[in-house]
Amino acid sequence: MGRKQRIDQFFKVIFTVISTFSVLALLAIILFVFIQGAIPFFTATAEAVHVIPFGISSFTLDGDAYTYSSLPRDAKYVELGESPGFHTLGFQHQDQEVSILLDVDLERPLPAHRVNVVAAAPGVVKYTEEYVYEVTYPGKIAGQIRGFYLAIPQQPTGFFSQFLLDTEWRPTYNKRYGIFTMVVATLFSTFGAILVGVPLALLTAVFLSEFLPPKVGGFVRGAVDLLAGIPSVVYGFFGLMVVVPLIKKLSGAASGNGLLAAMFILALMMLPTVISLAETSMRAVPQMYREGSLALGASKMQTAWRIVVPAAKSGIFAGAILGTSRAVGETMAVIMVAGNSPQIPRVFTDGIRTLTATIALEMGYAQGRHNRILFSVGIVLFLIILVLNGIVLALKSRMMEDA
Amino acid sequence: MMRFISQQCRDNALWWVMALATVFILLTLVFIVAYVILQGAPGLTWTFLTSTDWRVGVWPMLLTTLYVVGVSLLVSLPIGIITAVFLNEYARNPKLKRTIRLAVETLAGIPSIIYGLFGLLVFCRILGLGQSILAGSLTLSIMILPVVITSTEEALKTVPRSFREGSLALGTTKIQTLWNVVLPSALPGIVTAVILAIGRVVGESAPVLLTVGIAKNVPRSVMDSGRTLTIHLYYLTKEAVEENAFQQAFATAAILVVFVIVLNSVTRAITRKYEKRIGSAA
Amino acid sequence: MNQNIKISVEDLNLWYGEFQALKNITMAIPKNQVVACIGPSGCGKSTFLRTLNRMNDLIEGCRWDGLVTLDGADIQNAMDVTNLRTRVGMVFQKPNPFPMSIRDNVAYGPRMQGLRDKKKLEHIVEESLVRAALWDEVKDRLRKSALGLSGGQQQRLCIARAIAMEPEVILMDEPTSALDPIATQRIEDLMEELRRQYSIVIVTHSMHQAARISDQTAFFLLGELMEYGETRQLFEYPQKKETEDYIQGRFG
Repeated sequence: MGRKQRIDQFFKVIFTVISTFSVLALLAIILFVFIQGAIPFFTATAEAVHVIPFGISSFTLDGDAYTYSSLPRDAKYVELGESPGFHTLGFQHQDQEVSILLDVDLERPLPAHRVNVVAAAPGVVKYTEEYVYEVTYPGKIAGQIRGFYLAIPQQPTGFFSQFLLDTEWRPTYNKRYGIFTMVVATLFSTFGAILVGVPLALLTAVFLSEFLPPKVGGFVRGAVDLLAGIPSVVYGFFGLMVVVPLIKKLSGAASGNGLLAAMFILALMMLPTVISLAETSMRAVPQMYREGSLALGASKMQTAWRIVVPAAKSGIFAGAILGTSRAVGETMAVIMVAGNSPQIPRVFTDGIRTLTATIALEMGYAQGRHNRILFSVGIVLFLIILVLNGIVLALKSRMMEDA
Repeated sequence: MMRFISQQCRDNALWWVMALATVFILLTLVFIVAYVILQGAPGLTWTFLTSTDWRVGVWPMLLTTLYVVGVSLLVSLPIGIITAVFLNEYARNPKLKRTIRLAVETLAGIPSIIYGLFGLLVFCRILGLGQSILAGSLTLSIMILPVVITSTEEALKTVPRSFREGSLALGTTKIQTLWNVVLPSALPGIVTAVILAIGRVVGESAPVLLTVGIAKNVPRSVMDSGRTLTIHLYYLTKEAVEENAFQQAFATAAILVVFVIVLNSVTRAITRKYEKRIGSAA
Repeated sequence: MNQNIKISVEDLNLWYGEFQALKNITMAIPKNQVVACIGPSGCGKSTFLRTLNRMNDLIEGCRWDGLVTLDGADIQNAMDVTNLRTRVGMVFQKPNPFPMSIRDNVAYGPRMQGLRDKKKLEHIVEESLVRAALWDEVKDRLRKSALGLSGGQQQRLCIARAIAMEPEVILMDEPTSALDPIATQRIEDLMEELRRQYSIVIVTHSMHQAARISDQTAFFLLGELMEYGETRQLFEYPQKKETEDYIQGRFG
């Protein structure tokens, strides 16, 4: 093999490796998000009660001595063991020996009963979250609170009963992760957007492809492209400054943030996708179809709606569905106008919170299971999109066959 | 005769409905653009653009946006273009090609927030980059990879087969042909792809919020957290702490809109020129 | 080995997937002669031509066996494909100049072989264009895009581009089929010149062209080499009935 040939081979290998890498990187997304999001449904948050000291540098647990600095670096806690029974925590407080007696039985039905603090005097026991106790001691030293967190393991969340079909979203205190309201909100706002956006887009696309002279058509097409390029935050901002006050004024509701505003903004945002796909597929309809229809004495309008639109229907559907998936996946614009309260809307001005909004709003502070559950929300979103994409791909292959 | 007249009436009515729909969309666009730019223009002062103090200006945000665009292009362009070249020029197994294209197409349709989740998990947490410009740029570069791959492939497909054959018949190697004939011919299309990618990165917000963070200071390196223009706009309207928050929000939105308009016109100019050239080659 | 044979083909079989496009072709291409390949559409003549510089390697699902030698060397196993193609040039059916200047088009091949010397390149460009009978028409606009030339000029530019490599054999795949009669005439005149230095294999649709310009003619039918011999002989006294039918325009 000559030198040139070897260089050629070398590049071929490089190209293969890099493109394999890029495709794998893309597929890794699905894998990582899926694994992370699936964890809450299969495993408990921990195997035993976690004892997490704060403001306490050394303590004893059932006679074993621990110092804060000797705890594992990432997770500063000690496990209390799974077996039911009593455990003693001891530490120094204002030169006094303090001991806390804990009664633990993880088999008890209510989380509140799984750990009982039998004696904590002079400490204060607080039940800060459903699965977390806080045992603190008065007498702040330089503003420092001392005490322990007791984190109780949460059992796997039921996918349908406690997640998908549950209407309660109280992730912090109650550890309720029901996303039903968000699924409904996403569906409502998307369908509303379809209802407004698709007819509007279809009318424009037909006008653009069949009736406008090329020069004007080019101008309109440019405008549609521009509409597609405007960042979603700007749409959200526009909605917030113009649409929301308008809705408030017209409806007389307490706030204009809500379902209606979200629908309107989403409809606006899906327009470019639907218009350009519909128009492209209509322009691909062979000229002879039109001529055949016109030659039979049909008007231009009849030809457009009875011949061209049906001939291009796969493309129009594909556009509508792609626009839909854009609306389902839209995040920031919706957050800015939708009001974000997790409830099932009864009137158009009720605030809604979509799946995407939940992820973006809570990811910043979500801890533990709450954090993982947000990934699960991502999976639900992903599955919705996958179904929509599957339909588009099927339509596309049908379009190929038609052509 | 009656039927004819009523048909014509219906046609006319429908014509007007379609015209109204089109005009409505055009007016909405004009309204958004004009509203944002007119309201934002008074705030677009030199101080606003260059002040490093986030209460007064957007220099930190401009810089962060610039960093994010730069790094994500640096990562995604070589990988994306090489993948497209591989798919179009090297890969021979049609099944493999179909599978890869299907994967790329599917990933192009995934909402950006899911890319954000991925980036948060892999780059910020597993790889330990934290919320930083680097983590965000890597996330965005994966997000725009499908865009870069598909549009580069489109550009490569427009290069006639005869160019490749003509070059190879002169005894050049494949890589020479690629580098000297195929890629230069596809260049305008690739540039359009790049501009498209820039537009997406600059306009993106949800994954940026998750991976780059919201720090308001001038980033010292790509390992710092930062706040892009879009996220700044979001926070200005959300928190509205400063007196002039809305004034600043309008000015920030105006920057974004002007930027989009500029990118769009550049793309149109390139496409128009390119079409002419290909037209004369065929 | 016969000193006068440039390319020798023995038992060449070629398949596109399941379809056999060439069947047991054996023929010899002599030095400094023009060999014309004729036959009806789809008879394999272009495929045959593209085997001689292994352009078929680019086509998916194409495989072949048999022995093809250039000056006695096996082109498949004993030779680098790029080396083979520098020695066996090709001109295509449709003119395919690259989207660059006229000068760069001609200099492209030598440059890719690593020639960087500007003076030498200038010289090669001029000489190739002169020999392709294009110099006078383009000498004032060497820096202009090659895409601005007329079809006939573009084809001559492609010939100049092939000549610039100083090949030993030039393959021409219906080089005039996309051109008007005047441009065709010019290309044919050019081939008359070129035959002195190169061996030329030309695929043509036009029997008249084959009769006008070639020394040897090969008649292909359904992937088989029906008849091969001196042009005048073949046209005046065809050995086979199929050849006679084709020449007399009874089919094809």
